[in-house]
Amino acid sequence: MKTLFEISKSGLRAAERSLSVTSNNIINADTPGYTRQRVDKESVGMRMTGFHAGLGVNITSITRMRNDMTDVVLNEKRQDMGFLQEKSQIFDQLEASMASDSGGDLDVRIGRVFDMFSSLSSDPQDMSVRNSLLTEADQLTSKLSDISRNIDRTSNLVQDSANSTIENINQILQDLDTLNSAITKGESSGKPDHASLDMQVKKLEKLSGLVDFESQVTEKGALQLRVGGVLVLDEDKASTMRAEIDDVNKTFNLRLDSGKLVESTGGKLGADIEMYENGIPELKERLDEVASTLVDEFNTIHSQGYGLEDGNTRNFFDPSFTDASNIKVSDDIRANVGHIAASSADGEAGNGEIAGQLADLRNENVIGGRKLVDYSVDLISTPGRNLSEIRSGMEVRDSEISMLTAQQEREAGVNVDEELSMMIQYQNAYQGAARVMSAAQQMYDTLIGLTR
Amino acid sequence: MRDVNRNRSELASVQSDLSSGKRVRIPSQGPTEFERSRIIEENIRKEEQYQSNISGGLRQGRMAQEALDETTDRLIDIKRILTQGANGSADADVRTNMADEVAGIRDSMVFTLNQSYGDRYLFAGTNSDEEPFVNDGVGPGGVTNNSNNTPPQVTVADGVKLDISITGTELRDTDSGDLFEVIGNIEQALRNNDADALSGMIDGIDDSIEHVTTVTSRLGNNINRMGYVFEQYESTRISQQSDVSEMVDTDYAEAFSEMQRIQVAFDSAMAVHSKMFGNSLLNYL
Repeated sequence: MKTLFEISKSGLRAAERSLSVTSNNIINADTPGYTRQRVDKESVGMRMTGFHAGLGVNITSITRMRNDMTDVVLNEKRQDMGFLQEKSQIFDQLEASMASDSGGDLDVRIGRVFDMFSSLSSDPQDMSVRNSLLTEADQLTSKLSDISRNIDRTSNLVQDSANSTIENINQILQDLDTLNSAITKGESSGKPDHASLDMQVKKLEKLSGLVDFESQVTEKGALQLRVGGVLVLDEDKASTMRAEIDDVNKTFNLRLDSGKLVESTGGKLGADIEMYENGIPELKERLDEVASTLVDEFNTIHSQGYGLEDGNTRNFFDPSFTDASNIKVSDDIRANVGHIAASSADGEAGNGEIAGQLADLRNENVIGGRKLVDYSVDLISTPGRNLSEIRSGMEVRDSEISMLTAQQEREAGVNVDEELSMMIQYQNAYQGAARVMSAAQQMYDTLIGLTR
Repeated sequence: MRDVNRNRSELASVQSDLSSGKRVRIPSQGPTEFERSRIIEENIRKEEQYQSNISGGLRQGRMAQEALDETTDRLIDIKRILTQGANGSADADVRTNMADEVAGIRDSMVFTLNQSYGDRYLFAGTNSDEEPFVNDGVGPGGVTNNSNNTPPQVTVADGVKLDISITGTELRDTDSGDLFEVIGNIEQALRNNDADALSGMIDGIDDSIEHVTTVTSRLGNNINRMGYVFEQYESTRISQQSDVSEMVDTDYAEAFSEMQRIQVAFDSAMAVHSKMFGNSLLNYL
């Protein structure tokens, strides 16, 4: 009869434990990264002579309801998303510095200079046309240097962003290392540290937006992480990354404290590195090509002509400065617009032949097999075109992430209604077990009463 | 919640399309439309510049044409005087007076043909910062020629240039020799009271009148052509602008119906969202 007490005691204990687990679930329903837990129970019994006797209930374990595979896939998608988001932000900035709806973009500025040369070819003696031409040429050169400066600024911001991302990654790796030791301790003692495991999930989620990695769990339950195939988090050690930047050649290397080089091609960091090394310099190079083509083509024609003042030939742009950042109209012409060469013959004030040839440049394929204005339109549209592509990619990723998150939520998320109904169930179980105990006590009392 | 947010951002985008009147303002809103519209706009800009060249060319061409018409009138006056002078009834005094009249007409022709547009002499060719005709008694017929033989031009289309005037050199070069020399010879013959010589000069003045009329009508052709090209640009611009508009401007009917659709979706998502959150077992415990 004593077993009745043992059975009811095990029932009370199991119900109480179950209640505490379900209460914890309810309380943590909105805690980020929390994984719902479930009590696993089995009945206890022993074989007696001729029959099998039940001896109550035993709690075998408390399980975290999480699908690790979904987490792995989700983190991969988040790496992609982090990569695309960062790239979209950078292209957004670049687009803002290259194209606007105000009507003063590079293509319009180049077109206006051609317009003024066309006017000059019709009115070579008109000083107001010459002055307007100088103003337009100045506006074109300042536009080029503005864009060039903005691209440089974006490049610096990307560099800063990459550095702060690296700091974040290092911090997360340190946190994961600390969690690793708590988790392995729990595993070795047979009592899994669910709180640390939940925090690990949260940290990995954060890390996946920042850098591409592969994860693996060791036999001891510790997490190992590899970036570009190189181990950055081991069972008992977290590496530290640092950036090695060559701002002249635009190279960005990641080196671990162990001296190994790591290559990141995903997440926010991967996007920053790709844009810093390739995306931004490519745009800058194309912009510089526009500037150097302007200088070369204009000077070649202009230096064959004559201004109003004398029989000397001159360059239109200063040939010493051929980058977008420093292109400028030559000092001679700035000093006297009469030196702008419109005429193909010395002393012919009404000859607009050279100005006409310069105006005709707008129809010639002088840069990348295209006209200068068309090439400039293509150039200023490049960030926006990339941005538009990336946004489509982001929409797809976003819906994949939402789907997988919903899938994981179904598995690991807390359904308060379900937990409340289980709470009622456990309360009933507790009451039932207590009733068994009370019945056993009455039986004992009855028995003891007989002996009095 | 994601649907609610997406609807909200779509709604904001449609509202911005409606308020700005443009669907594509920056490349990312429609890269292909942006690029194509900008390239068409460059073409429109180029053609507007050609129109501006043509306007300037037309003003100068018409001034030159008027000056040439006046020159023709003056030459006809000279022919009239010449015919009267060749008549045997005129005596030496009358012919001297006639010679003075011819000289006066020549001076006024020089004045007319030295006309400038701004600081550009219309009949000087490309040597247009100098007076083309100098009445100095040195050159042929007493008028020195400073003009060269390259006419001033304007570009009216890709690779198409039109003369907007006649050079002084060409104007003077009649079938009967230098225009002012023809006039000078008439003046001289009148002063010499040489009726026979005067009779022989009628063909010369006729040639001169015909020459000036011919170059005037050639200039007239160019003026007409400029006017025609100008009008052509006007009409192609309308179609080009409507192409641009189709690519980048907001289609109001479509945008309004889109706004309506998103609004309904947004309201539904909000309603479902708040309804779902109201349902909980907690309410029944």
